[in-house]
Amino acid sequence: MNSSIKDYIYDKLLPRVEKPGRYIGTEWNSVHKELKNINIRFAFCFPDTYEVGMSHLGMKILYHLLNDKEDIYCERVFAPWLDMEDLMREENIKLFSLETRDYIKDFDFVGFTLQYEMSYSNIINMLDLADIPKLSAERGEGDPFVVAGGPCAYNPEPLADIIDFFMLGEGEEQMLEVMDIYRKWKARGLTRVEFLDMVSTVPGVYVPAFYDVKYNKDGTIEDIKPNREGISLKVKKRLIKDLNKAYFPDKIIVPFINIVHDRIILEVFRGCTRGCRFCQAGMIYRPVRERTVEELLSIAEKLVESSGYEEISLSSLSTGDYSKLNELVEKLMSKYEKDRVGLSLPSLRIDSVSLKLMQDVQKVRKSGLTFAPEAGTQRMRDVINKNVTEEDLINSVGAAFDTGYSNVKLYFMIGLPTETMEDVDGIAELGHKVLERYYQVPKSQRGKGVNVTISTSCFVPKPFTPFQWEPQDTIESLRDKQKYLQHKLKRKGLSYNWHDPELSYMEAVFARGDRRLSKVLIRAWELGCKFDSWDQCFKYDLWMKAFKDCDLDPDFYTIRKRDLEEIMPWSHIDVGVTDKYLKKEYEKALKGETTRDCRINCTGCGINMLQEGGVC
Amino acid sequence: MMSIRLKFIKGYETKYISHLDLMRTFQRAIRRAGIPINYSKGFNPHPKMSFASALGIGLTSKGEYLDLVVEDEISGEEIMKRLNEYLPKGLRVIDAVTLEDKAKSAMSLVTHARYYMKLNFKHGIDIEKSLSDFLNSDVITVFKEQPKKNFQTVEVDIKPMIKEIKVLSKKGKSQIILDCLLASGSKANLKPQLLIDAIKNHIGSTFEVESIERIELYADRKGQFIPLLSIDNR
Repeated sequence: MNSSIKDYIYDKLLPRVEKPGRYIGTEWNSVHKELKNINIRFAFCFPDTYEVGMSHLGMKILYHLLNDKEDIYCERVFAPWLDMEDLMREENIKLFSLETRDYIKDFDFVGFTLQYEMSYSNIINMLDLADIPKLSAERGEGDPFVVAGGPCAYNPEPLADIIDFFMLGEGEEQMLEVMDIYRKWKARGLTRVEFLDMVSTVPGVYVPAFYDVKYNKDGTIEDIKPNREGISLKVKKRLIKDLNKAYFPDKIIVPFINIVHDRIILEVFRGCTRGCRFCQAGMIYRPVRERTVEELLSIAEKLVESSGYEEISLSSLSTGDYSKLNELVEKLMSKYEKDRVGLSLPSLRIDSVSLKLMQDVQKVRKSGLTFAPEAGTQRMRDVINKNVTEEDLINSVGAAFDTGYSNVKLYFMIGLPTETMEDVDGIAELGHKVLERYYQVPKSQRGKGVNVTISTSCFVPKPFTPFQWEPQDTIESLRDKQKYLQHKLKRKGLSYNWHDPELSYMEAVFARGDRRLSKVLIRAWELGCKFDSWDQCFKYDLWMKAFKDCDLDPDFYTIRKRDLEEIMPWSHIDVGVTDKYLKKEYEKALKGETTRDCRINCTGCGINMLQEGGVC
Repeated sequence: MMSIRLKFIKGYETKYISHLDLMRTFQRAIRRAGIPINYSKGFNPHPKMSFASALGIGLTSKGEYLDLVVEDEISGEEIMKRLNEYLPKGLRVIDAVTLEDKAKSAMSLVTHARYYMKLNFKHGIDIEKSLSDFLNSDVITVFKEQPKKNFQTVEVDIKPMIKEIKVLSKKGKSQIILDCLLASGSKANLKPQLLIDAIKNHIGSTFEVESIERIELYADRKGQFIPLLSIDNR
């Protein structure tokens, strides 16, 4: 690319945007390579701002995984913020990568990570800014392959017309297999469709164009079938058998500007055994695979040394369940206390918060505590299989108050299956009980300025969960419940936050959507939708207009109850957890029966059959 | 425990890094380099380091200063060598001195800053004459935004804050580099952008700013402008 454009972007555009630090690209540990030695250029795109995208662990791993290969250059791309986008469009600047400021339309791969549904409109916007055809069918020889992965790729269908192929599951091995095939394809000078044919042989790769979807008159799916020889009926997700042997970079990029999670993220394990029925992550990331304490200490040491970060955060779906948590925390604390490297423990479950751990961690840095009871009554918690009692919560919160904490956050969901106003009322009651517990601590011993924050999100039924057949609660009903809680939680020391039900409604559309939604996405983008996960940008009315223009009813995807025998848009995707298990869990949920943690005893979800020699 | 003063360059790659981000960048580089920095006492200890002066976003500099307190006996040379291995592109330490006990901080010493401003004029101009007209005005008023007061504007006379402006070089008819010595520090502070506004008020928007670079920070010692590193700090 013309180097004067690159300089122009840097010298003339950046002074005119609010946060030029988002677009610099020379952060510590960022990778800069000689282009003449590069065979494959990969644009790793996160469809949100720099601050959000740079906080994402998967990107950190895959960035260095690819760049460790001599002939591959992986660069980062984020959604330019509105001010930058305006300037780019005004001055006819195309979407560029951060490291070289080259236009990504000239790359071999443009890869999006799908972390949440409401980032999809940004994918369309980024393709448009990049001057890459938005529809897969419109891309020709010479255009990059537009690929995607990440948790939302397990229901890839809403993006089926846009993405050339998806990579399902954990990417540490699969990504390099795809690169190997690409090298061969490039050397032989074959066509675009020939590459898709070749790459579809990599386990976990899904090429949507190689499948046909037929619909019934009522809009449900009649069947999904491969339309070519040699394409498998089902695509199985990939997983790493032994996390201790998996690739992990010994360095991470240290941003100049403040990002959302500006610290070392130490992933202690993948998967979760709790089996909460609303939780998609708990199902799709199975099975549980732990890293050893030794491996974690070794990773931490390399990252602390190479980054200079002052904080390590232990991360997983339920860090309190790590079997050697005490040992790990003790060793990290004793090793890093003198260097003033702090430790944080997010997402501890109520029943596993240990007072000692909290006190240990407090030695270095003190922060507020977060608990997620998820529902307000025991009945409701049994339905969702959140095996936590009110007593557990009060005990843990009490222990926190006793040791001087005065700032506590409680997370709940409203709109859960079978929910009644009694369950909603339970949320308010629990909030009051927690506050009462604070006042039981003698005045001289308790922390000052008590604040109990109650947050409710609106439940979104997700694919591959026992609630995938359930309707979502209506916007009106969710709003009534929020109003009720606002009224009930008016008290000094309590505060109440709630999520916009319209946003949750849209999330529900795309979570369980089919491939007819690709055209809605493009239409919504044409109407001006982007950055939907940002309050100030989300435009519900435009989304509704997009559905109308495309002659589709969004209620079909949200508030419709699915028949147990209905063919789901994702039924050709295999995440390991079986349909049979999900149905059994669904039935138990409706009866209010709980299922034990599968660390204690296998509950037969099917994940151990996903690949040869089971990994559970 | 001892104090070290570092002089560093903030170059092209880091010109958009804000002051707060620059502080964090140095803190992390210091950790990576294993420099035994001293921490403040108290509930939330922070590394003892302070910068002489915040540099505006978009400006480069050849003369920034940073004071550090270190635990062990370690030479300025050694700190410079180690830090330069661990600083991101665009930041480089170019000199270091060990300070005497009870030396004043760089921040409290600085009174003036020198800037080179590269301007591109649309038409030829007699810059010397325009400048002397400009500087001979009795007052040079300009409107200044006050970020802490809801961006209300206030009229200020910047003339007392301009120590000197001269033409450093000319390239062809249109490119002129001005050498400006301006008040900088806690007592009086003139940001170069404000001076540009004032010049534009005087001669019209006949030019564009190509770049502004800070060259040096000084302490005024009885009319002598001494670079912060050369100061007798006892």
